Amino acid sequence: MKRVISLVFLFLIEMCCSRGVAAEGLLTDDVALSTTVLSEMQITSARASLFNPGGLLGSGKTKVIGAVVLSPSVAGIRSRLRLEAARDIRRDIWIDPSAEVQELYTTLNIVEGVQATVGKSFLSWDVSYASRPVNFFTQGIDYIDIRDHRRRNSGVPMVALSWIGKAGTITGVVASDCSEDMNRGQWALRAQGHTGPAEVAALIRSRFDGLFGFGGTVTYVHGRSLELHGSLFLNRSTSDKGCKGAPCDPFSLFGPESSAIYMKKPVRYGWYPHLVFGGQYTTESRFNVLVEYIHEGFGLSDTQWDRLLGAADALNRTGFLGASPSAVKRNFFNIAASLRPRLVRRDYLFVRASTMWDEIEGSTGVLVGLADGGASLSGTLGYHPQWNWDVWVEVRRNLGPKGSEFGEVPERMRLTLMLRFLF
Amino acid sequence: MTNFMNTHRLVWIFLGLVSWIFFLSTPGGWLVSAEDDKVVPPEPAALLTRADDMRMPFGEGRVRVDLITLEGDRITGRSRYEVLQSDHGASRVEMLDARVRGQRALLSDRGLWLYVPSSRRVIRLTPLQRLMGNAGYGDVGRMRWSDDYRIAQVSAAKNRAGVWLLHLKAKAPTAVYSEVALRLEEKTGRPLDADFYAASGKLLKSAKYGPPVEFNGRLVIDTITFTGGLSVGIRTRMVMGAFCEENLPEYLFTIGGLGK
Repeated sequence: MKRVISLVFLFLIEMCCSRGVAAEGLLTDDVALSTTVLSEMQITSARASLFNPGGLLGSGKTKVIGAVVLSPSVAGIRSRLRLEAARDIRRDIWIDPSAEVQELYTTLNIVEGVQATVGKSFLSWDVSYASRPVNFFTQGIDYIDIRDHRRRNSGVPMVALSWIGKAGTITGVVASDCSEDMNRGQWALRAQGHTGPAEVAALIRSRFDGLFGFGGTVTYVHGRSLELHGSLFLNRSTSDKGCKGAPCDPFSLFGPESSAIYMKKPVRYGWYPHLVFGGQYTTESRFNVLVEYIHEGFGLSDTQWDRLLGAADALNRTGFLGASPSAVKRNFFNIAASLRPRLVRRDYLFVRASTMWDEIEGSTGVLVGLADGGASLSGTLGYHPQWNWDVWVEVRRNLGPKGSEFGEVPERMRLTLMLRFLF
Repeated sequence: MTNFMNTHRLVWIFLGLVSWIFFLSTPGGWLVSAEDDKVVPPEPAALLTRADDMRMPFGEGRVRVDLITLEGDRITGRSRYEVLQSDHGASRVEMLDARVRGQRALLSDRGLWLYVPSSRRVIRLTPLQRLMGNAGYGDVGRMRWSDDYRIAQVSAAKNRAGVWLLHLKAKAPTAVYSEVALRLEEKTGRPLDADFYAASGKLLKSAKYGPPVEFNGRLVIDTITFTGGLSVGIRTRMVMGAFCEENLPEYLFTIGGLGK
C-alpha cells in the first residue's frame, strides 16, 4: 500500500513539474507560480561510537529524495508547499511521503510604510551564518546550506506589524514558538537603523510563559573588501534546552509511556548568552573567506559533556542487561537526535572559504569544537549555467578524538548529490 | 661657475625624469599619458550629467534590463532585471529569472544589500562581493556615474576629435569600481566607451555604448556591451527598455522595505 501511495505521490510530483514548466507563461499581476523540482541522492555512513554502540542505529543509509516546492501567489496571498517522497535504497523501502505548507500568508499595506503580515511565514533577523542567535521565526536552518538550496526553511504562524521609514524599521511580532518542544507562543519587538557606516538592530523577545531575553545585531563594512558582523542574544531561561537531561543527574531510562531520557531535578533559571561574531574578506579575484566565533550559553560544559558520555555508556550496559532492544535503540536515537543538528557544546570556530569560476562555485568549511578539538568538515561544488537548472555536490565529514563531539556523533560522513530545476 | 650651472641643470633634469616616471606609474597618469596631453576642460560636470541623462532619462522610475551573454555570436545566457531608480540616488534591482526570482538588491551611497527570498535574509555585501554570485546587478543597478564618482581629470581623447576622456574616481568605497576612464562625445554628451578599474589598478571590464534611441523626445542609450574582466572571451550585452517615469514609495529603497 505504501508503495502505491509513494508511486502516486511521485506521479503527482512529475505532473507538477510539467505544469511548472508551463506556469511561467501564466503569470499575471495577481497570479504567479514558481516551482522548484529537487532530485537528491544522500549517502550517509555511520560509525560505531558511544552513542551508536555496535552500530545499533544502523551503519549508513542511501536515500533518494524527490521533492517539488510550489510557490503560488494569488491575489496577494502567498504560499510555499513542499511535497516530498523518498526511498531508502539500501533497505529497499519507501519512506512515507510528506506534504508541508512552509508558508501561507498575506501582507497588508495599512498606510504607506506600515505593513502587516498575517499567516504562516518566516522572518530572518540574523546577520551571522554558522549559528543564528536571533532566529526565532524560521525552522529548518542548515549552517552549510546557508542559501537554502534545498528549500527546507519553514515559517511559523504569526502576526507581524512593521513601520518602514528612511531612518530604519520597527517590527512587532506575535507568533507561535515551534522551536521549543512545548510549542509556547512568543512575541518580539525589533528596531533597526544605522549609525555611521554600521547597521544596528536591537530587539527583545519573550515567550508567553514570561521567560524573556534581549539582544541585537551589527554589521559594518570597512573599505571595499571587509565585512564584520556580530549577533548577541541573552536569554533568561532554563538550561534544559540544549540536550535533554544532560546538565542534570541522575539520568533515568524512559518507561513504556515516556519519550526519552528526562531530568529529575527542578529547573534552574539563569541568563544564557548566545553570541556570534566574525567577518568576511573578499579579494578582487573573487575569493571569499568567512570566519566566525560562536558561543552558545546553553551548550554543555566539559563536566556536562562527560556526564552525557557516561550516561550513554551506562545506558549501553543497562540496555543489554534487561531492557528490550527496541527500547534501548529508541533511547540512543533520542540522544543522537538531541546532538544533531543543533550544536551541543559551548564554543566553536567556523571558517569557510568560497570562490567561483564563471558558472562553477565551490566552498569548503570547517566547524571546530574548541573544547575538544573535534571538527566537522564540509565542501560544496555547484554548477549553475544561466538556464533553469543547477547541480550541487556536498560532502560533510565529522571527525575528532575519542570522546569529542564530532568524534562520537554517529554520522561519520554524508555525500549529497542534488539536481534542481527552477521554473 | 659653468660646472655649477651644469650640475644645477642635471639635477632639474633628474627631478623632471623622476616626476615623469612617478606620474606614469599611477593609473590616472597612465590614462592621461595615453591620450593627448592638451587639456581644455569643457565643463566636465555638465558633460557627465548629460551622459547620465542618456543612460537614465528621468529622476525616478523603473526600467527593464536584459543581460545577454555571448560567446562569439552565440547566446549562452540571459538574465532579466527590473531596476527601480529613486530621485535621491538609491536604486533597487529586482531579479526576474527563475533561478534567482524574488532576489532584490538595494544599492545606495551607504552600501549594498541583497535580499534572498528563500532564506528571507537581507545580507550586507562589500563592494567586491558584487563580483561574486549574480554579478550583473552591480552594473545594472548604478545607472548614474555622478551618484558614485567624482571627476578627477579631463583630457582630450587621442586621435578622436570632439571626444573627451573623463577620469572618474569613486566618491566612497561603496562604489564597485575604484576608477573609471570614460570617453564622451563633446557635442551630445553621449558616452562612447569606458574602462572600469579595481582599487589595485587592475582592469576589471570595458564597455562600449551603443547609439542613442529616442524616448519621450530624449536621446537614450539602450545597449551597452561589456567585455574583458574575469570572464575571458565572453561579452555581455545589456539591453534596456520599457522606461517608465513614476513616483515610487520611499520605503522601497530602505533595508526594511527590501523584502516587500
